[in-house]
Amino acid sequence: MSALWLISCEYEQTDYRYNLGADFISDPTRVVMIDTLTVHTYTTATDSVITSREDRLLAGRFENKLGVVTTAESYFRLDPCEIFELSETAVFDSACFILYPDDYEFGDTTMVCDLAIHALTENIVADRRYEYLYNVSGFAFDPVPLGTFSYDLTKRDRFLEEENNIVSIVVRVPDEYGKQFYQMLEDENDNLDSLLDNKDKFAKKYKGYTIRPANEKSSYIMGFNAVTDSTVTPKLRIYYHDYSENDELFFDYPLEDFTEYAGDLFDLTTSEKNSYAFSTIRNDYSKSPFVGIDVGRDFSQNKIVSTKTQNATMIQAGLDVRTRIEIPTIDELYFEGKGAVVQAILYLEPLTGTYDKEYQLPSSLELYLVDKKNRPYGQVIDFDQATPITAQLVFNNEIKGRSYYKVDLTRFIRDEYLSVEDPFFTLQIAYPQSEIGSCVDQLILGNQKNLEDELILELYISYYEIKE
Amino acid sequence: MKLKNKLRHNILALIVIMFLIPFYSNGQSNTSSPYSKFGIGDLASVAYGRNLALGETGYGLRDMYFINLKNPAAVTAVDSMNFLFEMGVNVKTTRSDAVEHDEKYWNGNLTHIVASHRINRSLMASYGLMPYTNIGYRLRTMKVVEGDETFALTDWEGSGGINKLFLNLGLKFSEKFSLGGEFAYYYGPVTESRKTWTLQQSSNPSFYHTSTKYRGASFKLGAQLTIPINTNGSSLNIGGAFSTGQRLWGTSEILIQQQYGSSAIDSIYYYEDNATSVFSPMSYGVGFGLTLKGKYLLAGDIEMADWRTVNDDRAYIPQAIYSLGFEILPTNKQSYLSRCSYRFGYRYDSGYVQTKGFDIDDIRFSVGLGLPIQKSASMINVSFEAGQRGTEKLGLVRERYSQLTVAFSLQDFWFIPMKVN
Repeated sequence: MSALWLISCEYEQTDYRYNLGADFISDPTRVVMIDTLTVHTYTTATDSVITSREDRLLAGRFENKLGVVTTAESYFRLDPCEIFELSETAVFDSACFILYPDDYEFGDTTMVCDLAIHALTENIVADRRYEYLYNVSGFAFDPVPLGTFSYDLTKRDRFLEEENNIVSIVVRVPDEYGKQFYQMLEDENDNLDSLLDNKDKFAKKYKGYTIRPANEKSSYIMGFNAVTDSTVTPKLRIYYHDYSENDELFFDYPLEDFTEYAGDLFDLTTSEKNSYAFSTIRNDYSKSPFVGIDVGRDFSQNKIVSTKTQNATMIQAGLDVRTRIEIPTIDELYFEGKGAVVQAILYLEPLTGTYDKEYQLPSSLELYLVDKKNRPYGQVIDFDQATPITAQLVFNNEIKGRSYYKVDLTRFIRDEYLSVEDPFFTLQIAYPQSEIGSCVDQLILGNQKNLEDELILELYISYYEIKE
Repeated sequence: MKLKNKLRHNILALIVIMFLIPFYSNGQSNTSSPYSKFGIGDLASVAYGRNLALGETGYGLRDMYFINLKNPAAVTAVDSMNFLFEMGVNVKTTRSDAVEHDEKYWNGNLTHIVASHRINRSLMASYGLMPYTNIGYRLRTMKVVEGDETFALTDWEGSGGINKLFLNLGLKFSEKFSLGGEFAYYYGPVTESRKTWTLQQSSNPSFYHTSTKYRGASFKLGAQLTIPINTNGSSLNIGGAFSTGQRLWGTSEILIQQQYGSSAIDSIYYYEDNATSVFSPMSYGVGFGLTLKGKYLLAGDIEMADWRTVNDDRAYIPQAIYSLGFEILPTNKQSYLSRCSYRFGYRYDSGYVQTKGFDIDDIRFSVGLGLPIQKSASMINVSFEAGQRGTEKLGLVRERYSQLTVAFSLQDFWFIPMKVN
């Protein structure tokens, strides 16, 4: 008998669905789009950012649309030169720093960047525990520069080395200073007590150098190659001649190659920890509405509401300035009934006029969960519990100022919607942390009240008919 | 001996029926029609075997060898010596045509299982189990997202069906007049799932699942009157039946879910609740059966039910069913072919819903054969129906179907001891 039931199935299955019109059925589930939920945004600062162990050094100064002045200074040390036999007829000519811009610039690149190189008068000391150096580190230097230079991007070709097709900047240092470096090799040749044998002693005498803005002018911040053992390694080059044929001779004191360094820190497991090249990056907020953001012992707990900062917030690499986002009234979604969050998309627009080309905007931003004191809990992750959520740049080539970042906040909003407790965490948007120590890129984002570059939170909610 | 035989039949019938109840409880998927979303689903046939081939006529039909379920008074025609048992299966193929989509499907099922016999000299009974409605649909509706210029789509999927367990009692007042009553109990599951999604957020659909177990009861009263015309085998039977409206009620389990991409589904709410009751209206019908010279039978029925009385929805309309049947009756000759019955029928059903301005009506023709088994009164009744429902206009669906039903009518003598015994 039961065999009869075996044939009681459909043999042909299709996914087609008929539409018989709304005359007699309509879905009682309401799908509602809400874009009026309040979103508060704030700018927050970060205590410090690691800037050592990067392949780039930064120097320069620029001022953004909101009056925030960012200054960058490079610090680095040199290695002793390679020891070789100088000809007896050799004579010192001159000494120059040779620096290689790496084509990173941020700021007003139509201006000229004036920089100076100073010798340090204080030893570079890394953080004792982790052997890092930070954007807030800084060491005393001789106020009289060894040399100054100006880099004009509009005349970049002048800096092109024809043989290598790379851009280099040559900064001549005073002869009496350069001669010391020539003399060291000569002393070594003469078996006198020389610093070239002992890296530690060398580093104690020649403590290092800093590249910093030569004056109070703001233009842009530029990047220099800081890779070791390469044609683009920065160096102090000593020129000499010995009356032979083709006697334009030189030898180099290159950027400290920390990978070979074994000195006092032999107990460290990775040689990378011996990198003493880093950049100092500071913001001067005194002329901007963000004044006070870096005041206090734990200033990373500070937050400045965007309505007080021209309806805009900042995000900046180098200092890790972040934008904090608070959505305090998610529970108001229950006013319409019981439902489920279908999707939540946040649109953030950089201020029109703060960018021009796509490369000037980071292609993505990272999102963190932070508590009331901006202490991070972790990255915001997607429903799969593994993929971090990012805000992706949607660049509009057609219309200037209509580019935006789009981020899917569905999981966060859903969690908050379902949670009966007061929210413990909120959101913070940051520059991608992997690149944060090697650039000063910044973004200025409009808030919900910014008429031209408005922040929009679009929510789709399903509301159900539920009898209770 | 008499008692023993009677018991044996009773027990057999009961065992078979009891055995089938759990199968029926699971509900069937005996249809795949978008129109089964309406009301309580696609109404299954109310009568089988002979009736089906005669356009489902039956108010005025009386026969001692056939179970006629359409009119409960007809049970008194069954010879008091007989025990009748009938069971049927069908197979149906449907071709659905909509403007941009055609599909074809098959399904098959057990149609009914009925036993009929006398209780005492004037009281006769039949009882059994059959499907009452079948539900199986896939639909899509569309609405605007509030506060946005996009659309939300809803995919509906329904399945299940209601079964009917019934007892017919017929009382013979005289050779000419009988009354009958049918007590029916309805039960069965109906499930519906809605998937709502917007065009922009198609990977995050919302689900609303409802699973309802319905039950209900109804009573049907029927009467038949026989008017002899002359003695050469011509007679006229007229009959009518009235059925109370019925309410199906039950409890629903409701589960609401929200899906997020491929990795997460939230169960938002789960609750049990009284289901929205489903009503069907009272119905009444009259019909006749005219036997001519013992050779031919002509039958006609009219049946009415006003669905507006139980549904506020403007989609519901009054239902009228007209049916006609013609049969060449078997003659007592040696030739097998002349001992067969030949049946023809026509049925028009206005349907009880209207959508987009069209009545979803149903027209069908039927032909059938009654094939006697050896020289007994047992028969195999084969019916073939072909019909059409709905329209292809305005995006609606026209269903063209053909259905083959085979019913086994088994007759045994009630009070005569088996020869073998």
